[in-house]
Amino acid sequence: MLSTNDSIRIRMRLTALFLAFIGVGIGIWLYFIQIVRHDELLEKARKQYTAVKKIRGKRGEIFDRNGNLLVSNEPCLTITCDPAIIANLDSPVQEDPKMSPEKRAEKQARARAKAEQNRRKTAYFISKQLDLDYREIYEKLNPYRKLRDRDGKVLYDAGGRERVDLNRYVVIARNVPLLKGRKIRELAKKNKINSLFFTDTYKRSYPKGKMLSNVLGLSKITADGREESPLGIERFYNQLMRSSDGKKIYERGRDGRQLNYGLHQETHERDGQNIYLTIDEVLQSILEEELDAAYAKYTPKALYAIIADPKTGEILAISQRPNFNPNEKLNSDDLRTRIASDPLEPGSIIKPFTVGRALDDGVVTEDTIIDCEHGNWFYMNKPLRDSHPYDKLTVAGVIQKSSNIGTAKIALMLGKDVVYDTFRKFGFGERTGLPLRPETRGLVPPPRRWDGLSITRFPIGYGITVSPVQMVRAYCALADNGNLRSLRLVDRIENPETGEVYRPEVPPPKQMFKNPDTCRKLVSMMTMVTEKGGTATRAKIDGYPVAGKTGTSRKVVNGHYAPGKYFGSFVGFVPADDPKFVMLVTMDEPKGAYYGGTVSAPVFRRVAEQALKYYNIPPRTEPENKTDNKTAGKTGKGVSR
Amino acid sequence: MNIQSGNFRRPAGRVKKNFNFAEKLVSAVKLVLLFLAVGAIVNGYIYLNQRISESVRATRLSVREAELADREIESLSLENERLKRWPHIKAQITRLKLDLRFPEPRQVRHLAIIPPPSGVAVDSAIASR
Repeated sequence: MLSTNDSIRIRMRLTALFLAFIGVGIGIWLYFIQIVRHDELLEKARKQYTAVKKIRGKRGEIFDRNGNLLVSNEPCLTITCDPAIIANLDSPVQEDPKMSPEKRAEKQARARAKAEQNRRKTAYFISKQLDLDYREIYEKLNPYRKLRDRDGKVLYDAGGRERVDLNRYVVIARNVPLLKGRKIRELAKKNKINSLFFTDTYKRSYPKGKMLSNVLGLSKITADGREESPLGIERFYNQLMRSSDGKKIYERGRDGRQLNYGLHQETHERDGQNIYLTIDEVLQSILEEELDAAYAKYTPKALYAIIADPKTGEILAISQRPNFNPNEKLNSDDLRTRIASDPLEPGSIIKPFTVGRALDDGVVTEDTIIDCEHGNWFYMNKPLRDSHPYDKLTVAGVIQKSSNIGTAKIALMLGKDVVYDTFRKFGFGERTGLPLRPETRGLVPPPRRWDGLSITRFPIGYGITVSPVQMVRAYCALADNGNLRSLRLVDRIENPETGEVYRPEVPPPKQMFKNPDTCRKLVSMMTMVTEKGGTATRAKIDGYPVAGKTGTSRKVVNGHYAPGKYFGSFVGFVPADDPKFVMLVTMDEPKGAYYGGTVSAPVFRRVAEQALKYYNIPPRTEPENKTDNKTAGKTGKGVSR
Repeated sequence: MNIQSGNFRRPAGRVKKNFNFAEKLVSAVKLVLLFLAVGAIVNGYIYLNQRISESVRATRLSVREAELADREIESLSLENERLKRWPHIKAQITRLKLDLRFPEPRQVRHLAIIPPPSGVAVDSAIASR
């Protein structure tokens, strides 16, 4: 029999053994958790408590040459909702198992009624604040959503009922303006609506509206968050302007707040590069206003205008009609940069180049007499006519009167190879390289493809096609003593984070004429075009010498010259002795009138007058009609720029 | 060990020690001081961590406020650009019947700030007078 001491000893040993057993068990369990399952459990914990936040970068902005903002990113808010919160289903309450079925049913009915009341209240609030359809919002706030497969088909359970899940995320509105969104947030808080969430986003904004729309282009964010740009500068520089997203990985507590001592990794977002154009916003505004007036008056199919600095090749203003407002919904017909992509037969505005070459080669002088056959001439049994029956004209007169016959005869003296060489030298048939896609080359056939009549047609602007930008480039050479420069639309590119500025390389100009006097003589002839007896008297500006050329060409439709359809153009530069800018205005199918001197020359004059004031260029001579501002005010001319 | 339950008698032969109050007091004080020291260190550590947490939270709030202010500035800049559009300005001029127009070139005078011959730098505000 065991003594009392022995039994105590045995019990104690058993107890100790039992405790040791438990200790070993705990040790083994801890070993399995801490060592064997360490990676698995750590990963699970990290997934639960680690948050990954995407930080969006900002797309690059576009400015004019003086830093005026043309395209930017507007801060806005995306409003989403969690319908499960409205229905109080996000944190279900444990039911009391002792509750009677009747009381449970009553409690559930009350909960459903409250959820329904919340849903209506929230739907009413949202529809009122955002001006949306109440019923549509109410439907969206359904706390349950049907489960669908990848193809969008509804899934069913074994009993044939639609499978549903809690609806935790509904987009209510995107791109809500910042101040409006904040106001809604405050009102929601005041009305104790806690199911709405506001996420900071950006939307592409064009604060100048329609101005420069076809050139600037547009940009949009696709459903998967990529930036896409189908048009204009936004398209050409898409890669440079595109931002890259950053990422912030951190550990958070139950309340969602970041833990101070937890994991923290951050990859910084990168903003896109900013583009500064050569455009002058003031000049652009002047041009846009006059184009709107001309477009309303003549209702052409299209209208193009470009202003460029001949000494640098910088495009100061560029516009076309029709255009569009990139802030609004778009018609795909508007999404074209016609001014670079549409070729047109230039008509008489191309004449100075053939005549200039003839002067430079010494084939003619400005006083050489050309027989213009009284306006009706047969060459290779085909008639060539002038708009008026001229008898004999000097070469200067051929330009002033825009004689087709005179120009054709001068071209015949040069020969087709020289004429072709002249066109190619001035850049016709070759893209300008502006960042506008697509850009047409135009059409200047090589001499081997010319027929017998081509030598009389091409130099007067028929049978070849050019783009408006090519024509401006060539006229910039005439305005700058024969120096042909590349046209430029982008002045500099800036990295907003480092401040680094990159300026595109500017190739040196090419001299078009051998004789330094050629250009001066040609400009002198072109100045006569806007003087009395010329074809562009409506382009004349009091006090300033204007050099230019009108052009009226028939339009080709489906391979044939269409009756009653014309391009009416005027291109010129002022002051002719030291040009500040070159301007081209072309109308496609103007109604009511179609001569370039009638429809486009007045637009040139009105824009140029305002531009000369803007640049403070004093008149060379006293204007014939002395009108100062006081007089203008008295005559009630009202506001002008 | 010889444990006998219910036997509460003092074993024979044990010598009763004299109770030294001073020694006990010193030990007790040492123990209390030790606990106080540990407590102070722990509390100090907790206090500093708490202050750090609060500072970090305040910093994050300030950063967030700065971000919100930046967004508001961007929004206002855009609004400013919209208001600078010529059609808008022209409409306002017409609405307010302001007789504004571009000056004629002969109405414009240009001022040039010419530095003094001595080459001493002059405040531009003085030079332009």
